[in-house]
Amino acid sequence: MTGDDDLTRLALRAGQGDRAAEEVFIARTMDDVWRYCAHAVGVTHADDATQATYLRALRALPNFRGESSPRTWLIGVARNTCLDERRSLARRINLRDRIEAQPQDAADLGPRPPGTLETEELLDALDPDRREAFVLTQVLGFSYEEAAGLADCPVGTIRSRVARARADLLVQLRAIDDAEPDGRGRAQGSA
Amino acid sequence: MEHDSWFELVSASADGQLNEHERSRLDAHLPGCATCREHLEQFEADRRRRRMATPTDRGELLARVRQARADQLRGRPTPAPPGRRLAVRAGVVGAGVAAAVAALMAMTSSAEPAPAPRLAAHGDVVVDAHAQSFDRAEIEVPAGSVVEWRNTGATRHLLVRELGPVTITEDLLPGSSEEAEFTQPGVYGFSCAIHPQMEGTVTVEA
Repeated sequence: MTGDDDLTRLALRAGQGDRAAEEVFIARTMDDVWRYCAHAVGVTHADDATQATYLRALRALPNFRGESSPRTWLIGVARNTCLDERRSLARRINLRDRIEAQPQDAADLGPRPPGTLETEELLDALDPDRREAFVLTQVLGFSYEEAAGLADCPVGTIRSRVARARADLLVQLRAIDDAEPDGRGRAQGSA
Repeated sequence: MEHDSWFELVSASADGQLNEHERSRLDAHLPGCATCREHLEQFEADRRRRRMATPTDRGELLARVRQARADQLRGRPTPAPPGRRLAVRAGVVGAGVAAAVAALMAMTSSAEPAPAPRLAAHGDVVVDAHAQSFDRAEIEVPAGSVVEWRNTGATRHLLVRELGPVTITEDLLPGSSEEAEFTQPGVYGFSCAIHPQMEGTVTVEA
C-alpha cells in the first residue's frame, strides 16, 4: 500500500493540472481500483469500469482537498461508477428479456478468465453486501471504519458482513475439500 | 453466548478491530475452544498472505486509461463551453472488448462557439431533456443515424448511455448537448442517473 501522504501530494498536484503527477497517481492506484471493480461488476467489465472510474475521478480531482485519504476517495468514485454500471447491466439484461433476438449481446457477467483473481470464484458466490465488505477490508486492506464510510453503513454492519463472508467462504471451501479427497482443496484461496 | 457471536469476534480479532473489552472476552474463550483457535489462525494466515501479494502489472490497461484521459482532456477544455458536441460511434459487434472500447473512446469532439441559450440541432433525431423528463422515450432510427440529446431546461442531468459493450455517463448541463452515431442495429438504453424516471431506448433498425 502506498503511503497516503505521498499519494495525497500526488493527488493535489494532479488536481492542479500536473499531468506527470496524475500519471503516477493513476499507476499507483490502478491495481486497487481494478480489484474493486472486478469484484463489483465482474472481471469481464473490470477494465471498462476502471477506465470510467479514472475519467470520472480525474475530472473531479480539482475539488479534492486532501481532507480524506485519496485512496478512500478514489475507491468511493469506483464504487459509484460500478453502481451505475450494475444498474445499466441489470436494465440491459431486463431489456434483452423483453426484446426477442436482441442482436447486441450485452457482454454480461459471463464466464471469467480462470485464475484472474485468487478466490475470485468463491467471492463471486457471496451475497453482494458481504462481498463488498470482504473485498474492502481483506483485498484492499481498508479498516472497518473506512469500509463503513465507503459502503455507507455502520461499522458494526461491516464487522458482521465480514464475519458472514468468512463463514460463507468456509462452507464453500469445505464443500471443495469434500469434492477433492486428495486434500488439495485448501491449497489456494481460503477465507 | 451464541457461537455466531464468537465467530464474529474471531473475525474482527484477525482484522485487529476489537475493543479492549471484547479482546479480553475472546482471550478468555479461546483456550477452551479449538474451533475458534483454528479459525483465528486461518484468518490471520490469510491476511498475511494477502499483504504479501504483489500488485499485478496492468500496463495495457494503464496505456488505455492514459489514452482515454488524453482524449478527455482534448475534448473538454476547462471549463467546458456550452453546446459541446461529443460524437460516439455506438454498436461495435464482434470485436474484442478492448478494441471495441478503444474505438468507442476515440471520441471526436469539438467545442462549438454556439451561444448558450440557442441550441442548434445536429442529430437526425433530437431528444430534449426537460427538468424531469425526456421529450421522447422510445426512438426508432435506421442504422447510421445520429441521435442528439439536448438539455434545454435549467436542471443538471447525468446522461447515461448504454452503447453496446460500454456505458458512458456524461454530465448534461443546461445548454449542452451530446450526440451518438448508431452504426449497428440493436437496442440501446439511455437514462438520467439523477432522475430515475427519465429513461428510454434507441432501437436501431438494420
